[in-house]
Amino acid sequence: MNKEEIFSVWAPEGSPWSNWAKPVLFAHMDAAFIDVPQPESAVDLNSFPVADGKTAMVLDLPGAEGVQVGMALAQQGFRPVPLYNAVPLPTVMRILDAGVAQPVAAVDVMPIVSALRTETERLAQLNLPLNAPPAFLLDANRQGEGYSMTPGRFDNRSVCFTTDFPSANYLHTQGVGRVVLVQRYRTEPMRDLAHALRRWQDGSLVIERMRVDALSTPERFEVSKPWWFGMMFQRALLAFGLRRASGGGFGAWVPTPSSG
Amino acid sequence: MDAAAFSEIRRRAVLEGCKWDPQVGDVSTLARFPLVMKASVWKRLAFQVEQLASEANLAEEEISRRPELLTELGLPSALRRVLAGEGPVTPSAGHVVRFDFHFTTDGWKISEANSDVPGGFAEGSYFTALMAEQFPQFRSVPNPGEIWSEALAAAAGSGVIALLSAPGYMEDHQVISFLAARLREKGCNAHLAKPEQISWRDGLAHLETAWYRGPVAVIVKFYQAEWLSRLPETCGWKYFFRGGKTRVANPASAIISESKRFPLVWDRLTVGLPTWRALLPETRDPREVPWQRDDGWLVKTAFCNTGDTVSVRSAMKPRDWWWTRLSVQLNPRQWVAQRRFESVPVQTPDGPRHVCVGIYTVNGRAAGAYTRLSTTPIIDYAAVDAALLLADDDE
Repeated sequence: MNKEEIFSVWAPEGSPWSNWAKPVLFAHMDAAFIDVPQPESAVDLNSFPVADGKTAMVLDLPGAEGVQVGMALAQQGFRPVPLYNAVPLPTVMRILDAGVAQPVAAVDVMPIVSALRTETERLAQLNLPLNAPPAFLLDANRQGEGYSMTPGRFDNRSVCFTTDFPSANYLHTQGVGRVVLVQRYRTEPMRDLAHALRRWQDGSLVIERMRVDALSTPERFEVSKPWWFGMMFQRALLAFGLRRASGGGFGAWVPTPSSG
Repeated sequence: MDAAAFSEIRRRAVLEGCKWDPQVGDVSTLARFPLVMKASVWKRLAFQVEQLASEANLAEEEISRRPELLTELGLPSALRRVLAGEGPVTPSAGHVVRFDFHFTTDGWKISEANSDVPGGFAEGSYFTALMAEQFPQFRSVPNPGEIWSEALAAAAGSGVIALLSAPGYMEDHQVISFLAARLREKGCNAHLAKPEQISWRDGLAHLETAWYRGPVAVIVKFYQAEWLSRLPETCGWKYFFRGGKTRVANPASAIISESKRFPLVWDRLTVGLPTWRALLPETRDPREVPWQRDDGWLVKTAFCNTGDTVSVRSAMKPRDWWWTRLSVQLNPRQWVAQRRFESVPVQTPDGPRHVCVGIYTVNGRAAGAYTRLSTTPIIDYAAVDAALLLADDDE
């Protein structure tokens, strides 16, 4: 399959969630990319919610595990919606050696690219209904947390914004009233994601959480108000941590995007 | 347009045209219809942007020689010192500017010039070309991505081009990725990087990355000048502006007309700016005008790149307005007050929309457009991108 066909499987025409699928990894699905073998994720799906149409999942899991768990949930009736938003590589040079490719980028998203490609056929065969409830896929490594940034690396760290997700209103119109956050090794949502969850909570969605590394069932929790939540320039403010704060006028504690 | 045809266009735009943010919240940011402009209007606006670019160029030259005027622009002090300093200015690899035109009750007016880091090339080029194929009865405006990448390729010759942006900002990554793709189509060796990965040796730029180490012929700095100046001095950021021998785009002087406080020094210049004066609404220091109680004024920061700091009392929540007032009062030199114009919405298949046609100049010549539509008069990151096409006047 070429990248257009692959993207069409993950973001099919007519699905109410397809518009939110992030295209950047699919845009880099060149035929020369090497598939990167990944260890299987051993997740017990018995504790996961059923795809009752009223529940959306947010899988904030490291690397390709999000795709693997997303596919497992697809078999239960959820539609995985990739929200990966990092540029994989700084050039379009063909990657001939995975050992060389991996260290180039600060956040190695090649395993995710590979997993998305590998799982495409299986996802297509599931013939999910277009209105299957969503399982949004995020890379928990996106901010390079715990990673020592060496000077020569391609800095492709990323953040997620509230605007990367449908609004609470939209979710309600699709019959979704509950969101379950799935993470590994952590209980509290990451700072950037907390903004989206808080907005959903404020929009009368029930927010629950669970962990895949511990036997856990979804538990309801209160998303506390993140720092500067609701400010005009939240998109910019969310990205702090990737850049040092700057001085400047209102809203410029961190830079806004350069693109004018 | 037929839904299937538009779906195909969207897919091609996101997969081939580096349009990686086609959805913002619940808003699909690609319009299913083009904005059609009379060819005679385009011709007039294209002439005006060339005048604007020429006048700005002369003004920037004069202001660069007069440090007392640089202090009025709201620049970070470190950057101001470098711009006012001695030594040769780093050579330019070209200059792309985007002038944002709005259709108002007084005709077409500009709200600002994006002189330092204008974006929108993917939308104004690739997406527009795809839409144009669907509407053969209309003509296309020039392709800004093509013209700008041609200019950069010519400046680089056979050398390496480094395209720099800030990590974490997909909006910026997609701009340089799009330009890099166009440059590679022309046989150029283009690399994405960040400013800290440039080292300067005897004024010559070298890229120091895991995938390429070596000299650079041209730097495309898609990274705001005021941010650069906040990097550690050891990064050698000064060479992007002064003392460098490697060609850089956009040039150091671009930050002058990028500042929304640029109009505040016009009366002290020897050069005239008649086109700017005719097209830009009255712009004042916020301490001089009653913007807090008069809704005829808006305020914005001196370096308001995405429209996010454009502040109008009647369009804001009380809490946000309170913060704006506080910030302006604390840092008035980093804000500017501007007379509001009355934007006239145009009828579209989605209802009335306010229009912003950002017209590029590349090295002083008109070079296509990036067009956005908004439900409100303020155009920001959530506006919808539309293709601009031209109709002959008798149509």
